[in-house]
Formats: sequence, C-alpha cells, structure tokens
Amino acid sequence: MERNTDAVRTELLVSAASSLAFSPEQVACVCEALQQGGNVDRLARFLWSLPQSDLLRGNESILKAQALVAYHQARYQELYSILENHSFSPSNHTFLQDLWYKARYTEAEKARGRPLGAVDKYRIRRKYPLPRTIWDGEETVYCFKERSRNALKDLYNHNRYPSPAEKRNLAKITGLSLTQVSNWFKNRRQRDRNPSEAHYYMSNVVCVKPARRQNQDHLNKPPSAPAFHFIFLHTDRPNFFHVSLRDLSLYHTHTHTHAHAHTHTHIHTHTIIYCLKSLLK
Amino acid sequence: MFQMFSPACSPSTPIKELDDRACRSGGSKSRGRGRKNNPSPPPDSDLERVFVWDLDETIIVFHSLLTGSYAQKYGKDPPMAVTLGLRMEEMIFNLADTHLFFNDLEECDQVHIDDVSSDDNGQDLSTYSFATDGFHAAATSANLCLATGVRGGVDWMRKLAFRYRRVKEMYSTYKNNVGGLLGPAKRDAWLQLRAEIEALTDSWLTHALKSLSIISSRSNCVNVLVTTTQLIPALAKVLLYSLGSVFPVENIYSATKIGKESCFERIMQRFGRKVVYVVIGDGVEEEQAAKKHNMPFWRISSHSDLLALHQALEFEYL
Repeated sequence: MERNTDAVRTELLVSAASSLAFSPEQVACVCEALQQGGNVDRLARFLWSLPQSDLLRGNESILKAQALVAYHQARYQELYSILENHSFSPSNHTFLQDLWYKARYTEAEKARGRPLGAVDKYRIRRKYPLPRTIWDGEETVYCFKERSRNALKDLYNHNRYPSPAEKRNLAKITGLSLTQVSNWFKNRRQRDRNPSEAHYYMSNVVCVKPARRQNQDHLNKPPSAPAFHFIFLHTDRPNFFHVSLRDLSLYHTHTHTHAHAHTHTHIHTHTIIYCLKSLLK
Repeated sequence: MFQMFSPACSPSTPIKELDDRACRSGGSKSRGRGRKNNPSPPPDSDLERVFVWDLDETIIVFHSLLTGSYAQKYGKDPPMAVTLGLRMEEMIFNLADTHLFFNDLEECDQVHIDDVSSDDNGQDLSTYSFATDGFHAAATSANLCLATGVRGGVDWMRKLAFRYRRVKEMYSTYKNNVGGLLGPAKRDAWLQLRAEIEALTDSWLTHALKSLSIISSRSNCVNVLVTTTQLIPALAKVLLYSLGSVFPVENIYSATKIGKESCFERIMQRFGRKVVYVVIGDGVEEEQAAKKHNMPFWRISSHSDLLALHQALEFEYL
C-alpha cells in the first residue's frame, strides 16, 4: 500500500475533520496529564469536546476524569453513578475512594449547614460504604490488611522471636517491609507483657461520663460515692453499666491476653481506675 | 614525562569502565544529585509541565532513512531515502568531530553536558589551544594501571571539563545560526539536504516543530530531550535539524549508558514532583519508563500523531 504525499495529506485532513480527532490512547494521555496537574476546568472543557464514541466508552482514564469533573462541578449523583457502574483497576482505587468520600462529606455538610466533625464523618462512611468497583473489600480499621495480620499472628503463635530470614519471608508474603514486620513483633511482645499499660484494652472502653441521678437527692449524697456510666463497646452490643466507685473495688481483677476480639463483658479494673483517675483530676 | 592513567583510559576499553574509573575520579556523579550541574528551578517557579521527547523517529527522521524502513512504510524511493540518510549522517559526524571534539570525547561520553563541570577550574578558554593540550595523546596512551586521583588523572579530567564547557558555549552561540558554524559552503549543502529530507518525509520535522514551539513559548512548560544517541552526536543532530532554539543545552540527556528510565529519574529529581511530565516517543523503552513513573505517554508512530499533538497543545488541552 503506497502512501505518497497526497495520500498523507488526505489522511491528515480526514483525521482532523473526523468525529474522533484523538485516538483513545491520546484522550487518555490528555486526561491523565490534566488530572495530575489538577487542571479541572481544562479537563472539563476537553471532555465536553469529545464525541460520543464507542472507542472511548469504558476507558478508565476518561472515566476517572469524568468522575473528577463531576465532583468539582457538584454533580454528585453522576459521580456516584460513574463509580458504581464501572470496575476500576486497583491502582485507581485510592483516588476514587477519596472522591467518593469527599462527595459524601460535602453533600452532608451542605445539608447540615455546618462543617462536619470526625464522628459525623465516621457515621457518613458507615452509612455509605465504598462500592466494590473501587474497593477490594478489605477492612481498614487496622493499618494492615486482615490477611497480613493473620499471617503475622500465625507466625507469632508459632514463635515469638522469628529469625531475620523468617521475618523477611513474612515481609515478602504480606507485602509489608521488614521494618514493619519487626515492629509488629516487637510491639506484640511488649503488649503481651504489659497488659496493665491498658493500650490494648482501652479499645474496650469508649466513654466514661458522670451518671445523671434519677431522683433529686444527689445533692444530699456524700461526694465520696460518685457513680459513673460505663459504656463498653464490644463487637456487637454496647453495654451500659451503672456502678458506684465503691462497688468497683470489690471487682476481682484478672489479667489475660486477648489474642482476638470477642464478645464478653470483662470489666478491666485497671483500665477503669485509669480512666476515673484522669476524669477526677 | 608520561602521565599515568588507569587502564580504562585507552580507547579499546569499553566506555563503562572508562567512566567508572577515570571519568568519575573527580566524583562528579557519585556525590549525589541536586548539585550545580543539574540546575533545579526555584521553588516558586510557575513550571507546570515538562515534555520529555525522544529524538529519533519522533522529532526527526534519520535512522529509518538509513535502514529503508521509512521508505517502505510511506512508499518512498528507498535508495533516495538511504542517500539522504547517509548525507545527513556525514554532516552530523563531521560537525561533531570538527567543532564538538567528538574524536576526543567519544570514549568519554556523558549523560549531560554539565556532568564533568565539577572538574573545571573556570579558567579563561579564549586563548586555550585544545589541539595541543595533550588531551588526545594522553587518552590514547597505552600506559596502565594507576588508581584514580593521581595528579595526571586530575589534569586530564580538567581538560575534559574544558571541552564540555566549550561544547556548551558553541551550542549556545550557534543554536540559532548553524550556518554560521558550518561556513558558507557547507551551509548551502546543509540547507539543500534539509529541504530534500523535509520533502521526502512530508514535512515530518515541521509538524514536530510546531508542537515544540508552542511548548517553548509557554513560560510554564519546558522541552527536555532524552535520546539513545551519545551526547555529542545528539547535540550535532539537534543543531543540524534546527532544534537548538527549543532545547536549551542543559535540557538534553543521553541515555546511551544509563538507559531512559534512569534519565527520567534524573529529570524528576531536577524538576521536582509538583510538575506534570508528559512523555512523547515512538519506542518501547520510553513508553515503559513513562508507565513506571506514571507519566502520561503520547505515542508518535505517524504524521497524524504529530498533528494530533499539535492540536492538543493549540487547544490547551495539554
């Protein structure tokens, strides 16, 4: 197939006049560049100039760009629709998760008429969980994924002092760094050794606040017997206990190691004393 | 009196060894980055985009003329294409040898024009005689075996640095006036050759230059060149294809020794993380390097790709 000068010229004209001036690859390149540069207005203009072409449908760079523009132009329903209706590759998950939450927060803030606090945001995240299109389903309450944590725990139960080679191997299979694995083991050994440090068990006590008396004679009660509500947040059921301080001293203390979270109502006296002491200061 | 050098200085030794020993005895690269030979823009500069270009078969058509592949792809007369390629090749190496010390520097190739500047003492070179300073003789001396840092070695390094400094000066002086460098006779031959190549390649270079010029004219964008040609011949090519005005000499990197990915890393260290890098090329090496660093990649495989790039720049999409 000979391509002489005239043919080249024609090709150039045709491509300029054709409905798709840029190839899908070139469109993706522009989208990436504008996104990385934070040039949302130019990106919006560019997307708007694109024809409706089958070649462009489903192109991840373009979808990402459309999501970003939708967010900036406050078209949140459109954003959620883009995020929910297309599967995205893991490399884009963080970026898109960020957009999802930012949009949810912004909508809630507008509805509320005031800025959101940390607890408000937490509730919003609980209310609008990430779609699986932009999330692999791993819980991130912990810093490390569950599979990694299980691998670490398994080795720990087998041997609390793994050799450097074992640690390196663990690092490789979990995708963590050697330092992270080493630190995890160090911290785990330390926390097993000193449960009264209460770091580990503090997670069982969420909030301690003075109880409100049902009757009015609290003013006549001696101040030496303050009472407190304890709210213990366990995995499934929050429990409310109304106990007096004196009662507490009757509780028998015991220490044991928790290898994993489970539902029960231990009252950890050391923890409580610690809490109360700081409250009574 | 003979000057002692490490064995790596004889021309028969592979370039890598040469560099690792003699050429690096001043420690020019090993002292790490962020030094004066790799100028970084000031932190408050408004630089937003760095366009990283490949040279051959992206901006210029040269190699594919020689191999006949251009002629084959675009239906051109193959012997004609090869002839033009050969004439250009001769001009390139002629310029490199005559004015850019390629004979001296071929075995001592650098990645960047400033890489040996730390061995320079800044002395005035206006009356310096490169032809008789003993550099060439010393480099070809078969004498062997001394550790780096020997007096002779330092002296030779300084002469090397002088040459690169002179090359830098030549480039900057003649980048908009190659004819002046070539002299009247060669200049006419050069203009003729350029015209013939443009005709055969359907104005490939002209199309590329449109994009390069737009970028060059913007204060928030720069053009950077990363080529697999050795540095000195690359500079000769840039001059002969009249690209000197869009590529400052400090923005030219030769990937011959360290590969494109390492060049990209140097460029990122120089310009920082806040700018957006766009890679433009025709080959796998730059595409993979771009992908690795998450840089958007614009592939050039035909005229229409150059045209589309120009359009994207004109409409300020890129």
